[in-house]
Amino acid sequence: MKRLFGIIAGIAFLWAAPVVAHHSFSAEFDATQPITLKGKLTKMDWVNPHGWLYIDVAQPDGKVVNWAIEAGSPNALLRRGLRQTDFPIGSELIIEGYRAKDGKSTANGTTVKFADGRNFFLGAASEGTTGAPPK
Amino acid sequence: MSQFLFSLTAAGLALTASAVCVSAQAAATATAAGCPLEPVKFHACAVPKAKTFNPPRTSDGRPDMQGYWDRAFTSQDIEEHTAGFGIQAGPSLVIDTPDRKIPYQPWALDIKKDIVERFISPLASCFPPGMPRHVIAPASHQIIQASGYVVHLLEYSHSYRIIPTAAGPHVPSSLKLWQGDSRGHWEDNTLVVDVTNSNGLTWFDNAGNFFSDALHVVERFALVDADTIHYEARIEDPKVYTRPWTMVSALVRNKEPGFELLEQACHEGNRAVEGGQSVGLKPYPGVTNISGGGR
Repeated sequence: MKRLFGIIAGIAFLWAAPVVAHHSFSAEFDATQPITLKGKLTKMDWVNPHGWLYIDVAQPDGKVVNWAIEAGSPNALLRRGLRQTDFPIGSELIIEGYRAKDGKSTANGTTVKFADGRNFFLGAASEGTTGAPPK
Repeated sequence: MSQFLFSLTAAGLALTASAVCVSAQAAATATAAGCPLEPVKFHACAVPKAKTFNPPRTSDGRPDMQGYWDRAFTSQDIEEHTAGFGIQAGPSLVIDTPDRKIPYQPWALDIKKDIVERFISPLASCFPPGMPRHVIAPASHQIIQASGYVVHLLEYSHSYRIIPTAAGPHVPSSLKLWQGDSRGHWEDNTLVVDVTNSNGLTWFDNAGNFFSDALHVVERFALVDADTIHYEARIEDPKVYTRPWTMVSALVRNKEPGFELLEQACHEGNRAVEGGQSVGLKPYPGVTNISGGGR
């Protein structure tokens, strides 16, 4: 139940934040395939136009698969309070996102949760602006 | 299975729908300069206010529009759309067609139906956004004014345009440009920008709304109050549309303390092209070069 709550909270967070990327999510990622990935960070590319996280995820059969997860731009992550140093290799992460349509071990990330409980929106929210209509 | 979860829950989807409603409701009630942001309502409210507003001035006496600006709505789709994957619900920016849709010619509407399933969004390839998407693109803007010029910077992909405001002709029509050729002038307190020479290789949005290299845009920027610009773009393209049409958006001043435009080297690690190609998408060749175009 706790897991389910986490999934729902993640989805709600996704929709609460304005999501705008420089490309169309629907062209590459499958909205019908939400995914939760838990594993150890093997690499973090703090690059434009989107950062990428790579994590080793253990499957039920024990095989380890390295997943690539697309994040927001470095500027968007920076303005959200994240820094490249927040992603040391070996970090235990829980990432919510959506699978790629091509079936590869690739996903578009929406949230990242760190072992210390910190939880950040990972997506391409407005690429550095609030994007939200002003009140 | 605890370490490798694939999750799709009816409860999650139900909550998603609920959250979307909240978001759409918030957008529907949002205002700027005392005007609702919904484009038709904003236009009706903001135009009279702009006519009576006495804006702050630059040293050469022009309305001072300098600073950082954000568009009121995202440019994922400039037509009315419900929330979808990675897209917030939003109203149509088109204000003057009966159904508030872009008046495509029948052959063009046929292409529009599946264009995003066939081609990579030009913005995904880190190309300059073109006009008018430069104004409504997913990034913050900065306007800088100098005597005889307005400089319009966009953080995304270091896009920019320099708008001369002294009289001068467009570059020759044979020269086609990603950002087009912008020539401006002031009409009272309104900055009017005439844009031609588009190469027709960009889109209005990520929904694939398009134009050709015959695009002619007349933009009007007017301060409604010190923190709000009424932005209007009159669009003409006889190759693609049945009639000229107009889109409107509020631009709202970004007053975040210490805000500045940051480096955004778009090509650095761009995998969107690779991702698009992996599902069969091709580079967008311009609507008049699409195989089967005019079918």
